[in-house]
Amino acid sequence: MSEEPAHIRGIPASPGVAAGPVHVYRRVRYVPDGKLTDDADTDAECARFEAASHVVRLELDRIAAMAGDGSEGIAGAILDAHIHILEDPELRRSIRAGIRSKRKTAATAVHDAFETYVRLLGATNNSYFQERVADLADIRDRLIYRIQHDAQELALEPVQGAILIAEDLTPSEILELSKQGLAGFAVQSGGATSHATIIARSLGIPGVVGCIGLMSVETTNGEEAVIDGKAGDVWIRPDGRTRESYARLRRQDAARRRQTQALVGTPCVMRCGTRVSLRANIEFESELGHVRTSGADGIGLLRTESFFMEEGAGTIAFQRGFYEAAVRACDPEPVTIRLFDVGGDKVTDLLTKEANPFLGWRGVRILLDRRDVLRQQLDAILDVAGQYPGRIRILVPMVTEPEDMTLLRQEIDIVQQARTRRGAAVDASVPVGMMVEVPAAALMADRFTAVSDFFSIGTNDLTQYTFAVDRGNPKVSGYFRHHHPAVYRLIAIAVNAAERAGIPVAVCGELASDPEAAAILVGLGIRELSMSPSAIGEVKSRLVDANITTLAADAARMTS
Amino acid sequence: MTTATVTVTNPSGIHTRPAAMLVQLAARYQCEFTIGLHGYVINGKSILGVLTLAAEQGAELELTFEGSEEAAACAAMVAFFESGLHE
Repeated sequence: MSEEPAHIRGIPASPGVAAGPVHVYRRVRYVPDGKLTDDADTDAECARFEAASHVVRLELDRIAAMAGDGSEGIAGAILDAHIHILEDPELRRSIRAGIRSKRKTAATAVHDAFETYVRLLGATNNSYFQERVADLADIRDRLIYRIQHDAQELALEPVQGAILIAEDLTPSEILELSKQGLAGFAVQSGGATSHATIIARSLGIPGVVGCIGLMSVETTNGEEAVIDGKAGDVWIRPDGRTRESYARLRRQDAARRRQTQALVGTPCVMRCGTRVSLRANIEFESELGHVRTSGADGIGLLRTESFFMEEGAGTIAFQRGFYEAAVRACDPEPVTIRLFDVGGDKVTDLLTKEANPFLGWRGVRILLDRRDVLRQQLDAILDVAGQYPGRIRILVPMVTEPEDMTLLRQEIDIVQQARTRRGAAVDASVPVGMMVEVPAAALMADRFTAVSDFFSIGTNDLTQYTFAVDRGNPKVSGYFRHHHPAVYRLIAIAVNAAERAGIPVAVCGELASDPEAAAILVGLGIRELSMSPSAIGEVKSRLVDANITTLAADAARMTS
Repeated sequence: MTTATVTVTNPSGIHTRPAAMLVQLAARYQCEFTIGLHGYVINGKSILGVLTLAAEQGAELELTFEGSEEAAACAAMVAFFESGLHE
């Protein structure tokens, strides 16, 4: 038996550090033996398949029920698809035909029927569909196990606190194992988008996938293992130093998690009593559940680009449905909806391609040229605003001149008047604000306070335009520095103008999600930060321990 | 027989969740329902068939309905595709 530490680098799948005894999990794979049944036995074989299928159905229903909590509906949807696969009419027809016409045993008929689909999916050029093979194998193996064990339910060995080492894991296995208190897992195959991985992430179980050579490492149950799901490292029999450094990391992690978790339900109030609103940036309907779980004060930036220029009668209704779902997800907090913020590349063909798209036809510049698209979106937004008065704010992207806002507000008036004429509900005082992301707009912020009800500072574009750097270009991305006095000075100008005019000012760029930068922003006078929901906890725990005099002094040093 | 041509509009194509919703919708109607893509035709009530289409964004699908309630089934399915597969 080996005493040497073994280290394997895999693909990070689900973040977090976990340590515990190894539990090697080897699934016994059925290999069809090609034996045929007598004609007299086909009824019995059919009955065995039906009985096994019934038990698997009950089992999937049970797992789906326990998936109901803790994973934001992701696991439930995947299990739902598994149930559809089990009940698939073509699959069942092919299994029954295998038993009846080809005199296969129930186990072989199941194996062969699945094999056809495994081959078809494996042959696609799309890794997403290829990874679905794991879902098929999950159901196939459950069925075959039940057939061979007279429809008994599969009992996994207890794994409480263990690090599971396996060839691969199926979605239902990860769910069952998580209920038993699995600490973490490392698997030899699989990718970051497999269903098992998605479920592990949603449940917060650290894991590493794609660990080539993992199953050849000599190990026995009970030996110590450590995995780092963020870096993708797997250690079996770690030496003292490795063990100690991970133990430290885990303690820090746990302390941070406890602290941020304890803060979820509480408002972000600093030591001095200053209140800061921490809101969520949201793009897709599936993310709406995070607003509550992260303790966000509503949605500070709802991106709408995914609906841009989509054709079809259902689209406007669907857009509207998305806005309404957003409003309902954060009752009674507000939702700031940003109008379509796209570049010319989304609207024009290759022939009219712009030489400098980031300095070109984008944001409000497109909206004012495509009033048809703009009015449709405004109508969908204002319809929801009419139904939920006081809950919606409209945010205009890429504003450069006050005239952009004047023209856009005229469009809003036109849509509101049409709504009033046809007797639709209207919220007459929907705030209309602008993104401050063009340096000219930041420098001239005082000229915009008459046409803008609030400012929202987009630090990503503001930095890009200030430093004349495309951070997507690796040759120059080093010049992209948003945590920099040049950016903070521009922000300070916008904040001062907003304060003098008495309008709110928020920051919705990535800068707000960095706890240290958030502290500077609050020091500059910002009281509203919007960020990815996953960042809210850490920003909150930084701010609640601070007081405004210190932060204002830090901010003054940063901008002087 | 009722037929319709639809386009997959959502960015991730007909992946598992929309496939499950699609067969669930199809199961509400009595008629036979098939989906064709580049001449490959599958039973639209079979989730495995739908997944093996591996239909990505932009794919044009031929829907065919035959039997009772075929017009209603077709209308419901077209609306489902136009909604972007409820993504």
